[in-house]
Amino acid sequence: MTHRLCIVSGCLLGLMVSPAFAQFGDVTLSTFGYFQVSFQHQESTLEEDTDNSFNVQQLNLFFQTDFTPRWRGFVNFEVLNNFSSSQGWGSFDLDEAWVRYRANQHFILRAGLQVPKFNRLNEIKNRTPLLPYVVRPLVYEESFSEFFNIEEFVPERAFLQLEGWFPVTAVKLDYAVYLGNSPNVNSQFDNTRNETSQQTGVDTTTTVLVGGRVGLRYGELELGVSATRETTNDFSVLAEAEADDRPFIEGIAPNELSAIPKTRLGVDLSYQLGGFFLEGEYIAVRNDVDLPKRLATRDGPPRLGLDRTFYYATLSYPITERLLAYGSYWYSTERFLVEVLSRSYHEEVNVQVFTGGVRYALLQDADGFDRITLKAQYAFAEIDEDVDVTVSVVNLEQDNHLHVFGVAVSVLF
Amino acid sequence: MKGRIKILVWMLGLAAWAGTAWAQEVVVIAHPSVPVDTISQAQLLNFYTGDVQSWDNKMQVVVYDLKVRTEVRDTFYDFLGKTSSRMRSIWLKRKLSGEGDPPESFETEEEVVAHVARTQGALGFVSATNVNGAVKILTEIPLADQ
Repeated sequence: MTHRLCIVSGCLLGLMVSPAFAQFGDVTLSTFGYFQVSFQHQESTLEEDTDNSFNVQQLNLFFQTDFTPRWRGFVNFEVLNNFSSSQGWGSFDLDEAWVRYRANQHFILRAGLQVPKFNRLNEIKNRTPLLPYVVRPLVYEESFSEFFNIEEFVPERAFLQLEGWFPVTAVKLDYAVYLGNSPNVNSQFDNTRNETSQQTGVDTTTTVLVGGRVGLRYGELELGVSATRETTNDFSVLAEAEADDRPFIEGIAPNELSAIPKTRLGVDLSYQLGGFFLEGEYIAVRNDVDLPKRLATRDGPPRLGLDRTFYYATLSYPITERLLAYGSYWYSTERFLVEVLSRSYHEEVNVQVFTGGVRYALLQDADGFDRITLKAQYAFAEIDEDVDVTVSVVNLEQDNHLHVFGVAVSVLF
Repeated sequence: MKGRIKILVWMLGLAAWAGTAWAQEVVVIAHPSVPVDTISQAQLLNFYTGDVQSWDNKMQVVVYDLKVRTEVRDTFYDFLGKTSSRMRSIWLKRKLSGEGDPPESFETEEEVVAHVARTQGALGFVSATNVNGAVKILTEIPLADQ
């Protein structure tokens, strides 16, 4: 069924890009896109092995039409990680499908599936021609989405966004507010398979996401603060899971944890001085879990938490008009804590990455846009995982060091 | 007689110098329908980065660029306070985000003048010697080496 669906989708895409569909009435359809292919060599000290892999990390195909100068329609399909329906590799997603009305620079309204404004990189994280990386800062690396839940750190979907900017002397004040879905809506945990099934975007009755960003631009300085507020059912999913033949979170019905408030806070900064370009971001995710006192442990009040923090900074410099070099530092931490009745579980995973690389514009078009770009990157990652399970008297600490070397070709068409 | 010849030579020299000085300027030109007679660097930057896409009378702004890297184009970008590669980066981000399209660019200044002359709300930049009566001049930018 999935195979037939992909064949039909492919045929429809082919028809859409054919000249017969380039113009309908007096409206012209514009198609463009890009892809990035990479080779990555990875060495792990913990597993004492080496991985080498070629990967079509990402391909994005855009369809755009201007109905009038104020009204625009935009669709973005995204293919990740050597997508193959027959092999079950990668993914094929509808990333964006929106219509925009621009009254003026103060009032721009987008309705439809879109990537909301959160910090500086969220909107463009999957625009590989814009970024010098083979592997992007962790929370923005789409090809990691199969095993690193990006949506827990940054909002990936909104359905209504109002944005614009206002001048205040020489400063431009940006704003954006949006509504969307919380991730993992309608998740259900299957105990027989020990896995979670998810449907997103189906019901927003109790899991609406609201968010926004305010920022300022002054010359080459950009600053912004972003925030989102939503509810999550992560903890009800955990409550339904079993460990030691009993619910992971005991004493409370899963539906009592089905709408836990979650807040994301983001700060972004970018500045260009001379040829140097500095950019950085900070993201914090906190859950407000308020447990009843009856769940207290022998040692104190009940606690349940799942907090995440991420930050990065990148400094880049154009050595020539075509060659750019950069260095970057990334840090992420996830803390999961359960202290309820007799269950005590602490897990903390910290990831620290030192990375640097170069980007070379191999081919530019007549307008000076980089059509084919070569990238090379080295990253050293330290992964520190601590798990403390008091009931089972398990205390696991493991450190893993990864050396990753990657090269990539990014093509804009 | 000699006095008259001296005056004539002096006047010819003055005219030649004035002509040369005028030719060394870059001018920002606009379609006659554009509702302003002058424009600031900040306004130009807003139009050429796509931050502002319409004039105060709601008419769409159409900006044109030059393909070839010339002293005229470098002078214009210097005036905006951006490098050519920075402008490309700004326009590519807007294009790939669906926020806007890069300006249409042309091989020659004559083409820029022709398109500005026939497009309502249009802006462009050329050297002063290529301006004709079909467009109006909004501002003058001395070449970078002056």
